[in-house]
Amino acid sequence: MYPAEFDYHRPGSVADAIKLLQDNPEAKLLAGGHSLLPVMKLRLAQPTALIDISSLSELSGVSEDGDALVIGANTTYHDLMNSSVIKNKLPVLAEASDLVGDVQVRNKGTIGGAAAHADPASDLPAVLLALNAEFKTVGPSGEKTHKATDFFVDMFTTTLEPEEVLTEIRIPDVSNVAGATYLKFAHPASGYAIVGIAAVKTASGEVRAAVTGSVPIAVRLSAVESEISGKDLSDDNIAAAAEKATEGMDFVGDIHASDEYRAHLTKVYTKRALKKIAG
Amino acid sequence: MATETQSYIGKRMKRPNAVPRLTGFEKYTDDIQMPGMLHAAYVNSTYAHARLAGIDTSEASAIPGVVEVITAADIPEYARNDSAMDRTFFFLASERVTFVGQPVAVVIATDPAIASDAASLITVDYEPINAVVHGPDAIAKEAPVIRPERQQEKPDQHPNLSAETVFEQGNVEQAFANAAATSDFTMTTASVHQGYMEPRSVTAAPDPTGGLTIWTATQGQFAVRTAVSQMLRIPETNVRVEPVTAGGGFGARFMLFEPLVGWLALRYTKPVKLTITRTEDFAGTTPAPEKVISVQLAADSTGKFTAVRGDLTFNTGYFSKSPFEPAALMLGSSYRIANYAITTREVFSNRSGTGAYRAPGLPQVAFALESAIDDLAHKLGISPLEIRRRNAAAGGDLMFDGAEWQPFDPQPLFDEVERSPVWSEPTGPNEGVGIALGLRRGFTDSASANVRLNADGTVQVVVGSMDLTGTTTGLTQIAAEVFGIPPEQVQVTTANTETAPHAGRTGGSKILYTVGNAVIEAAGHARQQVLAIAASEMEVGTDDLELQDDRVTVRGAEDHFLTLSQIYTRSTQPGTQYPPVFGHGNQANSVKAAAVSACVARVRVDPESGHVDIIGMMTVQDVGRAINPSEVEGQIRGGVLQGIGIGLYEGLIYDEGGQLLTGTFMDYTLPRTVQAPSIDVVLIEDPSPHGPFGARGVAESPIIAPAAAIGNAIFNATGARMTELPMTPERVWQAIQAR
Repeated sequence: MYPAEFDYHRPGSVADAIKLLQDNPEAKLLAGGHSLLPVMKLRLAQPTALIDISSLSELSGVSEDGDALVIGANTTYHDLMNSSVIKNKLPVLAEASDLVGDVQVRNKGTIGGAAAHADPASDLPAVLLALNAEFKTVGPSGEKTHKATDFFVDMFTTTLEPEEVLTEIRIPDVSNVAGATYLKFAHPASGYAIVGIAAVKTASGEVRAAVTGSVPIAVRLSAVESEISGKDLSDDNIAAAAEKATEGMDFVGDIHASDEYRAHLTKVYTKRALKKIAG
Repeated sequence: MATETQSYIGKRMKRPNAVPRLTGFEKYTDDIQMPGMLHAAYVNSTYAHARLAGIDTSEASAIPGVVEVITAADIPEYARNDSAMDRTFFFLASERVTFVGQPVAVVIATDPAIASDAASLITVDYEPINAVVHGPDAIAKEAPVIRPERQQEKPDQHPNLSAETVFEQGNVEQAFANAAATSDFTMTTASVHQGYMEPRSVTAAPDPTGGLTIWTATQGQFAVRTAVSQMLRIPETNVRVEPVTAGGGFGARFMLFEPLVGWLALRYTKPVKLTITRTEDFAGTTPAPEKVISVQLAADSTGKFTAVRGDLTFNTGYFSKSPFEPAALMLGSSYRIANYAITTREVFSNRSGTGAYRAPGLPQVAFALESAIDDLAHKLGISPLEIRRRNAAAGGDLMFDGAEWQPFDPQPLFDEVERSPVWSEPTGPNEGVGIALGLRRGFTDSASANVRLNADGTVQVVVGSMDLTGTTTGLTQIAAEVFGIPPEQVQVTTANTETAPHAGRTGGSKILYTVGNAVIEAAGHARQQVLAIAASEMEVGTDDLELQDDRVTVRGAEDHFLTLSQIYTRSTQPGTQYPPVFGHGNQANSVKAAAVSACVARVRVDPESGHVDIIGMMTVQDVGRAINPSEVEGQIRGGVLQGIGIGLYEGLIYDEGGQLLTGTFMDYTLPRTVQAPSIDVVLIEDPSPHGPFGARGVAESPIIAPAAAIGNAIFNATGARMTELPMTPERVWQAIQAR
């Protein structure tokens, strides 16, 4: 399993990384490498260069900014699981990170890498969608901020431009989160979500839910949200809302699970996630 | 048995070779490096069935570091043999490819990465032909012909039918007509890969005299030597096989491309290494075949089985190595059934070949039979345990091939099942319990060993068998017991084909069972020589001597002794009158001992998702005599876990065009520790009359029953009968919907 030949760069700053991206149109950014390197070894990806941003400290760390949490793109799953800020303010991110891959993946894999890679079966995109996260990118034309609903476009596709770097993920209104969960039905070999459902309840009575794994890219369950909106989280209301989980959705079947089964599981796990945040 | 007199048999000794393996010190074949070594990489077919119209190697050949690109045009006539039934004797496809992953070229380079780069630059012109990937489709009228040469050889039968065998006795029709209850299932079971951790690797080096040394992790080094010698047309004495530690075998690791690498080494007069990737290993080696197994079982009102009908189709892919006959034998030979009609066949298809995988075919056959038994028990209102008690075969009963079962008694196993909380505790909501029997007739072989004394008084045991499973530990304990010294003073070595006493292949649960007897004889022989020297030197009779720890002592006179080291010296010093201590043992244990186990699974099923949680697992096995209970229990747990993999997780999946879709461990679910439940193991020791200290083969029996036990537990929990392996959550969910 030898990857094709590639150049390797380790820039000292985000600005340098952007310059390297401009100079190397076929390059890829390397963060944790746990999505990129396996496909390179299988030669499914053959970038001409890797730009290793994993040691850029300006991309690391979790901090508070007013009522928002700011998470550097290089923050690993392991960091998220062990951050006292995360554990106190937004434990769902630590809990969801604990469900990702295996120990090695959690030690090296990063939240920014996962978001930018936009694997349709990745866990955190659903959680970030349900948390109304914002994505800050930096490129030759400066900084931009994207809402989660805009950031994830399609399978392995985000709004990120080829010469841009995702630098941080911001979760707003953290104190308004009154309950949050992420439940997944994982594939036993890869650990990826066959279906993953994130659900968030706010103090102001809003319910947000998002799905990953069963659909081409993680997406908000808007039909579920509008069904449950303004109602109490009774078992009957939850059951009715969960039935809407497949409304307007395209399900993607493969050798691990058919589209019909994924649709069914999406309803089942939506129901379970809503029950969990109902308390 | 007089076990209380045994000092080392039955003790939980640690593996002497555990530390190097666990610390990463152990050298595997791919670790071998030699000056001037060349590296080979395959180019493999991307089509399951196609004519080869051309291969363009020019771009690859131009890369610096590429020595040569070999295609079928470059290999000797004898190696261009499309009718070969074993990949070992099939170097490269010449006119046609018949499975995805079939080698069409091999690149030789100075560096493995260069070889990979070059291989990716070779373009092959394929003219696709229709492919057939499933067994029953392969013998449909319109199926594409996999092996055209067979049409001339056997014009009367379907060209994709490899072979067919029938086991028949009694009046099956009448038995079914008179039955109080019958059961009828058709089970489809996926091809499963042995899933060893170390991908296949071979290194070969020539020597200036025309000799060839092959380093390979093989389960049968002597067979490799013969194959290389025959294939390359060189004398066996010119071929030396160096057996290397194997990273798992499970029946797969005999030989695959040793002759090719040997031929390359001779061609360049340099060492050559070929290590394949995991994906190549999944696509092109010898997994267990896909099977379709129909079973119909009849019983009278007391639950006594009266007849069984079976129809089995083993999809062997391109090469013929499936266990279609011995496996079919077990579609009923584990029980007393007077009337039977079993037809079993092997068919060719556009997949790689197949081969042995631990108890070949039996987990799938047990899944079919034991599900039918469970169904009958349910229909007749008899406990699944009781119906097995009433019908299970025992020593002296006849198998469907007319052979007699050697002594064994399953009833004590059922007693242990009854005592196990996994079986007997009440079940909660969505929980169920299932049982199945795992019976197997062991294999046999002749075997030899030698035992000599070292200068420091330790004992050297030399064997020719590969240690796949910890047999080194067992043989150490056997030699220590017989010789009369602590195991720490015994070293067991597997020598190469030039120096090792012969042993059969490591497989069929038989190394300890056969080589163990040779070691008993050799150690006893060496001990007699030691005592004779001591008796002569100390001028007493051998009856007056005791051999213990490091010395031979005159009974009752503690000060009157010779150490083993002294005996070595006195038998090797110049001018000595004593021959060196050299014991030998050579045995032909031709009696096939029975190995029987029973497995109980307790599951909790999530009815909404179909997810199956194993909440209890128990296996009881008659091991004859546990030479090392820790090794035996570990081996049983490993077998049970592989059985769980076959039951719930594992399957090579191909699309209709024959593309393998499960080419990595991201897609092929080999159970890992997170999927491993706690497994209770109960050992029964009913000695085998012919095994060393009564031991029976352990390895294969425990993999047989778990999948069937889990299927029966799912039925018990949900009322849904599973008819496909693996029993994935989606299939369980569908079966629940279809109830």
